[in-house]
Amino acid sequence: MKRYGWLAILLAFLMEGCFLSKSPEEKRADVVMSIAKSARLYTVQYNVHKVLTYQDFSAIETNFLFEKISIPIPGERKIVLPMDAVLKAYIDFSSFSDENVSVMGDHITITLPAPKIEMTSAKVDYTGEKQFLSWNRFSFTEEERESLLKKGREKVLADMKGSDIIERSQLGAYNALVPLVEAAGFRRENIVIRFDQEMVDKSHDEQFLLKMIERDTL
Amino acid sequence: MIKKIVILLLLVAVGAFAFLYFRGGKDMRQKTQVDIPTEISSIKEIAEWEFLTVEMEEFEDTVIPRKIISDDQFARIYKGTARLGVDMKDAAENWVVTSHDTVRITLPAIRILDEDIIDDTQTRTFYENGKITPAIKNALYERAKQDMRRRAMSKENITAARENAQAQFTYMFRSMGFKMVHFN
Repeated sequence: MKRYGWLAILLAFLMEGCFLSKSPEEKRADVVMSIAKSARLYTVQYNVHKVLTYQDFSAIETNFLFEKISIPIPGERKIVLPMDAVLKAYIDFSSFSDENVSVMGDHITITLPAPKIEMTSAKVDYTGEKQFLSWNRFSFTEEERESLLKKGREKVLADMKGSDIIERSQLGAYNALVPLVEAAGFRRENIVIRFDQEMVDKSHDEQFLLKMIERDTL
Repeated sequence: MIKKIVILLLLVAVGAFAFLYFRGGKDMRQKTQVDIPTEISSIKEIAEWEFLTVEMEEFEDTVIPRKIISDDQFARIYKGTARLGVDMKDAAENWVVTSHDTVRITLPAIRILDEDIIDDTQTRTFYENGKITPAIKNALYERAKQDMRRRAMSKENITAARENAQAQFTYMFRSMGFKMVHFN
């Protein structure tokens, strides 16, 4: 009788796999979508490559004779995860108004807000992933990879503070807008395009850059 | 004799370790991260006007049949943004024609401005039963990308982007002194 009891439990486990689990279609989560009108002029594109690395080792932390001690356990694990990302700088025209344009005879001055940066896409190179594991360590989980990628994303954006993306974006805006204003009948030498200088000066500050990026992309 | 001493020492070490662990010891991960600087692969000057932003989350799953016990199943959630607008490199040479106080504009067709629209650093694994390989991840990524692009380029979205483009250019040319702005 006892033997049949075990058989019944085993069968129940097998049936769970076949009948009780929901099909992926049933688990399908609602697709989230949000649509918003915008007016942005993207002026420069940076394609970047980043190699993310991470390593850890375990240690037992405990109290011994009222002292906190840490005993390292031999064995470590390492991961290398490459990724490619596309960053674009843009001028936001959503608050553009008559105040941004000043026409004096045949001279025109356009004042633009400071450029902003956005990561428009990122692709992880999973085939290029490498793991080094000691015999007593487990492989990295998907959650750990996701956490590493989130940190990598922040790192890529923070690394842009040392680049010339803001300056290139200003030049790009000039090159994109001048033909448009020329087509409107103004001569090239009479066109002045300038930027909100206070914001431009701030643009290289890391905290400001990250705050700006978070607001726009998260 | 030496062998016995070594075994005894090992047993004492394991015992001490177990004693400390069970007396409230915690398994702590000590992390180190080597920062490799971001490498800029290329820089390109562009002139792309975005008029509609479509932010999406896409759920993709797959089942890989296995002969023993249960099939492998994976589901991942992708986050992406499709930016609809016009790329000025597609514009005709005389896309702006002026005459007195009137301007006639021929805008290029509305399209998704980016080749890739997914931010893979924000991808989440929703369900995982089996070992997910890079090939499976790449296949799910490609499928999510195609689904997002198809959904973003709906008739309604294209119309909304075109109308917003016309409104923005009208506003810009009016601020430069033109009274009439027409679109072809």
